[in-house]
Amino acid sequence: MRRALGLAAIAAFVLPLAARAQSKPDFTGTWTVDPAKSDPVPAGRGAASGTLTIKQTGQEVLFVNEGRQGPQLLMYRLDGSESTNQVVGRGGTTPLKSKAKWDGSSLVVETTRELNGISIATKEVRRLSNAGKEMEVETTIQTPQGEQKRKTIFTKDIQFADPCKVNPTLPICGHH
Amino acid sequence: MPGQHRIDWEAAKTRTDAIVPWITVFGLIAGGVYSLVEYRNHERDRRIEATMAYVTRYMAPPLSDYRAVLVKRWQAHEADLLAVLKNSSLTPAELNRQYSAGVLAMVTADELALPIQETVLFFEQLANCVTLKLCESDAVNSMLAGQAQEFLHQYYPYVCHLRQEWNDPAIARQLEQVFNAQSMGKDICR
Repeated sequence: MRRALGLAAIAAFVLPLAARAQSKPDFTGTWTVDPAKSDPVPAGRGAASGTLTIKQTGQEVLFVNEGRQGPQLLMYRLDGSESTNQVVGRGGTTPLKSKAKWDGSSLVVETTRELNGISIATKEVRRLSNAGKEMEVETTIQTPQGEQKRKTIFTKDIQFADPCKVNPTLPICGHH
Repeated sequence: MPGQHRIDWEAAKTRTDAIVPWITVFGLIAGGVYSLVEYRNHERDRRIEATMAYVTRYMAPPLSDYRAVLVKRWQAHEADLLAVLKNSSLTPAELNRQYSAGVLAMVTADELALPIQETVLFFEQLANCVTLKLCESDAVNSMLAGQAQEFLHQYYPYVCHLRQEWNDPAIARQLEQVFNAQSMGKDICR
């Protein structure tokens, strides 16, 4: 009985830590939209296409989006502090102010931008599924006209970013 | 007058003469320590400010554009590079040779020389800033050190190519020393 209680106490302490350690998935990789599994794109916004490359470290996450104006780079700090990115669009460069944070195993990015004097708030909730081969993004856009929600499914086609993590015998890796 | 307490001015003056220098010394020490702490805080703030200027530069064009190009092209060639890295039948020398050949072919085919050279230059300047204690090393480590190391891990064959072509083994040496100390003293370009 005492042993069972001891194990339960250890489990109560260790399991939340393990769950916490596992609750930060790595989104690093290159992702392609799967139109068949995604919600349709609203009329007038073009087809769902293109690739998104993500690079994640402990402190930040970097998105490279293949946009119509060329590659767009967005960098978010993961400590909940505000990050500012510049996005090039048809009307010129627009600053985006974002805050990224973890909500369990989901990465939540909340962004505000000014468009023609109107403030638009976007919330993206990003999580991995299908053993990390798919990424689900729930986007909620708040505008004065109301709320729009959309789910996009990406499939992964990236393998690695740091060669030393794949093969540490390269001379640069300091392997002995 | 009987019972009246008389002040012994001579004794009081002697005591005061003995205490005043000590108070002065304590005051000087306290003031000195305070000034030192303030100076150190000010210096740290200045180093953090210098570091944040580098972070801002890294996140803005043209460096952000160069980085976007590099990430994109890396992804396009990734499968070939991965096949080399995962080939367990290769000796370390052959692995290095094949990986280097793959990276150099990618740099040539995709015209990545300028983005790589500009990124090397940026990280070299940042490394110098850390070495000269003009940047705050803790802030650099938490924000840019990982990026610098990964960049060097990916493109060291091109760094070696530059060292050979320009006959200058000092190219990217600061970058290597500050952000990838484990390879210092080893010949990464063997």
